Amino acid sequence: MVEHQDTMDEHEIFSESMSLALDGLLSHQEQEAFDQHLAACEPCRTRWLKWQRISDLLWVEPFAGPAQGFTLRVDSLVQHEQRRRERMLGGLVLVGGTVSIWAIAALSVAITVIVGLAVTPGARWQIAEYFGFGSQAVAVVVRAATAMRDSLLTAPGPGVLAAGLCVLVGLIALWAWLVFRNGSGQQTVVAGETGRNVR
Amino acid sequence: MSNTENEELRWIEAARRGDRNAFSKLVQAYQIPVYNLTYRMLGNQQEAEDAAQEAFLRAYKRLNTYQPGRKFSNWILSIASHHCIDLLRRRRFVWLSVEDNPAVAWLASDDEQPDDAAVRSERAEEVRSMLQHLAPEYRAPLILRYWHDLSYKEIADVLELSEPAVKTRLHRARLQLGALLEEQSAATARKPKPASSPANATSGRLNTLVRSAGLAA
Repeated sequence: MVEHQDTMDEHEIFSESMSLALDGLLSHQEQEAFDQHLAACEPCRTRWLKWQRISDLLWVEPFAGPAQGFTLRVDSLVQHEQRRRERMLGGLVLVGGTVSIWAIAALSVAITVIVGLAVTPGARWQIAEYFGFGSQAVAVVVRAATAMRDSLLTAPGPGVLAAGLCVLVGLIALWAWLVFRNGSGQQTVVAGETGRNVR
Repeated sequence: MSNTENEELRWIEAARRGDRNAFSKLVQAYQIPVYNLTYRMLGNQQEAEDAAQEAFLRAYKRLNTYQPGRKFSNWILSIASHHCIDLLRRRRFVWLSVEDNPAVAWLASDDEQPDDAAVRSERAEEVRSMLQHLAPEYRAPLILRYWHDLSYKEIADVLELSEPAVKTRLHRARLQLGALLEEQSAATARKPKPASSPANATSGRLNTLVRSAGLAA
């Protein structure tokens, strides 16, 4: 039993050498030991011949090449990728630009107010008066919006409000899709061509 | 650095700046190695085409991460092989009967040798089928070794493995192929020999080889 185990281990060791021998990676000494073992061991010799046949079969098999027009199809995908990047960039510029403009406007107002207060202490009352008018205007807008909401909820029913919200969400989704859509799905179209693929 | 490598670097630089023509030149130069790898890995022309396209697209997106010190061929093959391994892992398991495998049926058949074109066509199909029996982890190094003639070091670079791991995987791949052949030989020996038919008239050449190795019944 022990002897059998030893033989198995030896076969396994030479099995690893076999793989290296197929790739020409055995040193001179290892090759000699390998050859000696093969000469004396029938199972290993059988395996070696079998592996050589498989190896020969794989070596002679030629490269497979894509169908004609592959470069154009990839170029088309790359073009879609470029457009997607441009749209992403456009979206970011749009959002960033909007936020920036509002931020600049808010900052300008803040600076004007602070500077105005510092330079002309009496301006405080003028500003208060101004915001007083402003608050009245806001109150009018809020009252109008509330009236509109109430009329929507009471007259035609809440379905109209829900529909309005759906339209709004849909428009946002459409905008997001237009801006952020990627090239998925386009691959199927451009890869539709089939033909001789294997050389 | 050779002229070809210099030119390649110029294409890469231009592609990084968004020059699609430069990238197309890279695609043209590497379409066959990349497609061959995806085809051998996936065993299906349409899937191979899609995978090769995806590999190039990923390469385009990641061009900024490419380091000029590395061979571009290894880099693009690395992207393609990882993509194929991912695809194969996501595939549902398909159990293939060893006895139904035309590759080993051909290796072990006793029939006459048809003409060369038919042999080549049969052989291509059968090699494809044989590779499909290997786990993706073993298939990739075998393809890179036999078709792309890469050294163990290069295979390790492409698959992001150590050299001893490549050595082990190649060894196991060969063990699996050998076992597959043995099983088929045993199955062929059990079956009564059918009457000669075009479907069976595959190749006597390999059968002769197998018999010379003492494998056929």
